[in-house]
This record gives sequence, structure tokens and C-alpha cells, in this order.
Amino acid sequence: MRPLTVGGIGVCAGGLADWAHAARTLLDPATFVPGPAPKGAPEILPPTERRRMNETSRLACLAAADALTAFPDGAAATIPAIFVSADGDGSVLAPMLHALSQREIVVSPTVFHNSVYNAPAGYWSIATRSTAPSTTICADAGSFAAGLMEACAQAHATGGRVLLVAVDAPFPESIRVLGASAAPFACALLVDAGQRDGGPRFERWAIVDGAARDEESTDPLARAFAGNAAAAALPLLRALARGERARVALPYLDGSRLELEVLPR
Amino acid sequence: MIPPSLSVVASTLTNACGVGWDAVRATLREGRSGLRRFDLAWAPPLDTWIGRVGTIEAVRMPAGFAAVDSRNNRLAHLCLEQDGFRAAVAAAVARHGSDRIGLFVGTTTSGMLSTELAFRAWTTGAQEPAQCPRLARDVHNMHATTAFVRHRLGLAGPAQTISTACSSSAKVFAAAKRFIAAGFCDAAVVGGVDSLALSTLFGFKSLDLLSAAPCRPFAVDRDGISIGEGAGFALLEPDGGGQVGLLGCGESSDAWHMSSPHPEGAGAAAAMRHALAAAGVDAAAIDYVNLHGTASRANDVAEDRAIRSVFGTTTAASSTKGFTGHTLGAAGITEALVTIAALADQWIPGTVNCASVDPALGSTVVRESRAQPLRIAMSNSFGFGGSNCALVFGVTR
Repeated sequence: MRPLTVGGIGVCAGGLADWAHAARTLLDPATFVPGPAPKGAPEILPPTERRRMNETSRLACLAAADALTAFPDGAAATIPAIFVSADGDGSVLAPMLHALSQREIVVSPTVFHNSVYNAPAGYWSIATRSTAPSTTICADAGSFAAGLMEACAQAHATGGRVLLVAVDAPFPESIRVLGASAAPFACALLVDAGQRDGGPRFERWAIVDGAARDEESTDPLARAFAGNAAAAALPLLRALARGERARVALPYLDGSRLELEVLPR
Repeated sequence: MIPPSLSVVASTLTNACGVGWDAVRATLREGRSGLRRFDLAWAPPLDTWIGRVGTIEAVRMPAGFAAVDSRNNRLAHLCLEQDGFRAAVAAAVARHGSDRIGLFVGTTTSGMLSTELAFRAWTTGAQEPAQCPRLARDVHNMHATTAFVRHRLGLAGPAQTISTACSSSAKVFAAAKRFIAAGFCDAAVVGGVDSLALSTLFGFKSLDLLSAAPCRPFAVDRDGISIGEGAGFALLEPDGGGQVGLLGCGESSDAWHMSSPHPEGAGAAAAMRHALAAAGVDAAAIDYVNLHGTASRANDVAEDRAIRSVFGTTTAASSTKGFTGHTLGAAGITEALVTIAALADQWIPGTVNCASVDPALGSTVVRESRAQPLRIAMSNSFGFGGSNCALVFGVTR
């Protein structure tokens, strides 16, 4: 499988304001303080869309914007985007199920249009005025690895940049069994098939039988984001924060794993 | 000279028109709509028509899959059993190895109906708590049907579920093409499975988009969609020797609104242009366009403007949603396969239920199914969130 260069990294998660904060915390996990995800919505969205947008769309857009902070305004408008989520949005599913369980069913139009799995992709394209292609993928607990493979395939198909955004968040209590995330986590990687900005690289990809090793249970970050498939990116993000050569394993389908080498810039 | 392509080696299709290709083809040829008045015993009444697969209730999951029983997985199972499709995939596994065949499946609600009915049974108190169906993540998850198909077909290569509303199972072709080009796999099974669910039926009702009569795409009196369910799969291989191949895919985003199309169809037109460029053909080379053609007032206007801006007004086009209903996450594969069948059979399916084409629309709408020589054709799919996909298929031998 072919190499990718990393051109930008974004994070928006419970207790982690952005990538700069997350990178410091990954280098010194003892400093991690669990807490809510950052508030607010990307300023670039029109006010009506900001009011209507659902929680995973909000987290995904903030992480995506964070990955592009080094780029000029408008850069996102031409970058294809890939959104991945293992569980979708429980904060939309719960009111939808409540409405559907009434004797007379009345669904809110906003809940319905936010219930599509590609809602984060839709809001992002509206926010950035991006007419570039986007896709939205689920591969259960292997969603992040599936997204990374899609990013690699797309970057090499176009020879250009692709933005990968992963998001999962806790489900409300009544439907907790359908979404296992302990805390909200969204991250974004801008990847490039070329080497134009000389960033860190992913190389020597392989799908290997056998599950990815669980993070040490002593790691406060791994514990805080247990059950969150987007947080499966943490070992990759840690390698990027450390800036050291590392072989990383990410959970994929049916007890297999995606292995790749992270090379520092 | 037609450029190299991914060959469609085998396929299967099930929807309101019938179970398997023979039944679906016969219904399309005869110009019979598969729609019926809303008659779902498990749902509150709704004044609309639906494209229901009549035999799902009687389908039983194969041995070993009882734990993932759902309407969506039954539909997937029923579809996989038709047209010798499983045998064709088994032969491909023997040729390439199970880990070299990718799987790309589109859906919008996966097994969500099971969750909806469980919730409804609880909250309406219709059943004692002990008898209520339980919420099950393995059934509900967006990847649940893809996982079932992967296990049922014995595939071990890359797999992903694409859920981009009504373009989901058109985009599976683009993903498969990229994965094969990147070397992640040597062949691919692509498909889509979407079954009737309360969330989509009552969700579209909330947007006032359901017609109270069978949907009438591009008709002067069209007033909304009819929701359907369906499943379809195709086996794609480079140089696979099939009669029809995938020549190009085009994708774009509207960047406009979550549930309304761009009024000029700008995103739709961009997807069509990208697909033509990827196929290496110009608009004049397209002999037939299978429209997204939902029969909503606004969608058909936007698509018509997009068609006119790319093709002008003379390219033959039709919408087959009057046959199948709008199968949402299965619409892309359903209409891609109808387009492939049109190329294979040298015939254009009509726009059933469209008695009189809207004079405000400028596209050449084929109302009645008819024989016609075809070399290259396009299939359009557009979804909520402004997700657009156009596919170009051609006769390759």
C-alpha cells in the first residue's frame, strides 16, 4: 500500500480543546483532565445552520477546522472529505425514536435531516462552501482504519489532498447499548499523496489477522475514551505527537488490524 | 474506442418489481409499477404508496445468522440467493482469494427498524417488558448489513458501509474503483440494501415530500415521492469479460442545504461532468440517462436544469422510481443495475406513472419502455446533505 504525507491534524474531544492541547497531553498523559468537549460551532457556518446542527456534526466540523488552521481561508473548499463514525449520532437518534414511539407519529424535520449519517459531511460542505466530493463511512469498530484506507485510495486516485474526519460521541442513557462511547472524540487528518509539505508520513500498510492490542488500561486517555471508535486513532496521534518512528496497529474488521509505519518529518 | 473499465461480472436485483432479475426485468418491460397503497401492519397508517418487497416477512435468515435477523438483513439474504450471485462470488474467491475481494455496501437505515419497533413496543406498552424485543447494536449498527453480507459471502478483504443518504449505493462503485486502483483488493462486490423503516417514512412525511398517490417522476402533476425498499449487488473485476463495464464515476457536494437540492442543480451537473471526464467521453456519447427522478417538485426541476446544462435537451432520459419507489440507500445500485440491464438488452425503461411530462422541464423523458440501440449510459443519484454521484456504464464487448 502506498505512502501518505500528513499535512494537518485536528482534535475536538472531551477534555481536549484542539490538536495542540491533545499533542501536549499525549506526551504527558498524567496531565489529562477529563471534561466536556469544547462548546460552540464553527463561525464559518451561517447562524441558522449553527443552530440546527447536531452534536457529532459540530464536533466533526471543529476537528476538521483545527486540522486546517495552517491553511488560508477557503482552502477547504476544494479538498475532498471523508467522514467516518462507528455509531452515528445518539443525540439525534434518541428524539427520533421517541417521536416514532408515539401513538401519533410527528417527526421534526430538523431531526430527520440531521439523522442522515452524512449530516457532518453536509454541514462541513455548507460551512466551507466545498463542492468537492465527500463520503461517509461506517465499518463498526474498524471505522477509523476504514477511513484511513479510503483516504489513501482517494489521495492516490487524485494525486492530491484529502481530509479524513472521525467522530463518535456517547449515546443518551435510554439507548446507551447502541453507542458505547465513554466520552466524545473527533479527530481530523489532512493527508496528501505527494510530499509537498514534507510532513510526517504513513508507510508500509498491512491488514493483519489478530486484534489490535488494547491500550494499556493505565493510560488515562485510553480509559477516558473507551468504546469510542474514533478514539482508535489515539495510538496514531501519539506517534505523531512524539515525532518518532513507530509501528501502529489500528482495529479493523472481525478481529483484524491495520498496521502502518509512522515516520517523522 | 471505449476506455478500459471495471467489468460487471455478475449481478442480482430485488425490489417491489420482483425478486431476482427475471421478475424485475419482466416488470420493467411490461411497464407495470411495483407500488402499492401503504399496507404495513407494523406501522401507524400513512396516506401514501410504497414499494414493498412482498415476501420479506416470510424470509428466514440462513443457519448461523439468527442473531442478526432484521428486515434489512432478510432483504440482503433474499437478494443474495437470486441469479446465481453467491456462486459467482464463490468463483471469484477461488480466482483471487477471499482477502483480495473488497465489499462496499450502501444503506441509510441498516437494521434501524428493529430498534424503532423495540422502542415502540416499550413506550406504547403494547407488550410486557419481558416480551419486548431488545435493542441490539449488532442489528442496529450502520455496518450491520455489510457485516452480514461479508460473512455470508465468505469475504475477508477490505469492507466498508457507505451512508450518504440517497447516493449511498451509487458511491460504492467509486469506492470499489479506487480500492482496486490503490491495490487494496483485486475485485469487489458492491451493493446496496435499504428496507422500509418508520424513520424514513415519517421523516419524509415531516418534510411534506410523500405523494398520496403512486409517484410520478417528471410529470406535470407530480407531488412527491413513494418510498420503496430494495437490494442489489454486483461483482466487479478489471478485465472480467462482462458485457457491460463501469467507465467512470463522478462525485460532488452541493454546499447548499441539508435537505433541498441546489435550485440550479449545480452540484448534480458537476457530478455528471466529472463522470464524463473520468469515462473519457463527452456528453454527446451518452445514449441514455437513468434519472434520479424522485418526483418531488423541487428535485426534478433541479435535475432537469442540471441535465440541460450538461446534455442539452435531446438525450433520452427516464426515471424508474415509478416502478420501484425511491429505495433511498439502495437507489444507487438499483438504478445502476437497471442502466446496466438497459445496455445489455438494448432497451430503455420507461417512466411509469408519468402520464404527461411537465412542460416546464426540458429533458427528453422516455415515458414508455422501448427498444433502442445503446452504447454508453449514465445513472444519477443525489442525496440529502448535497451528496451527488453520477456513474457512466458502457457496452464493452
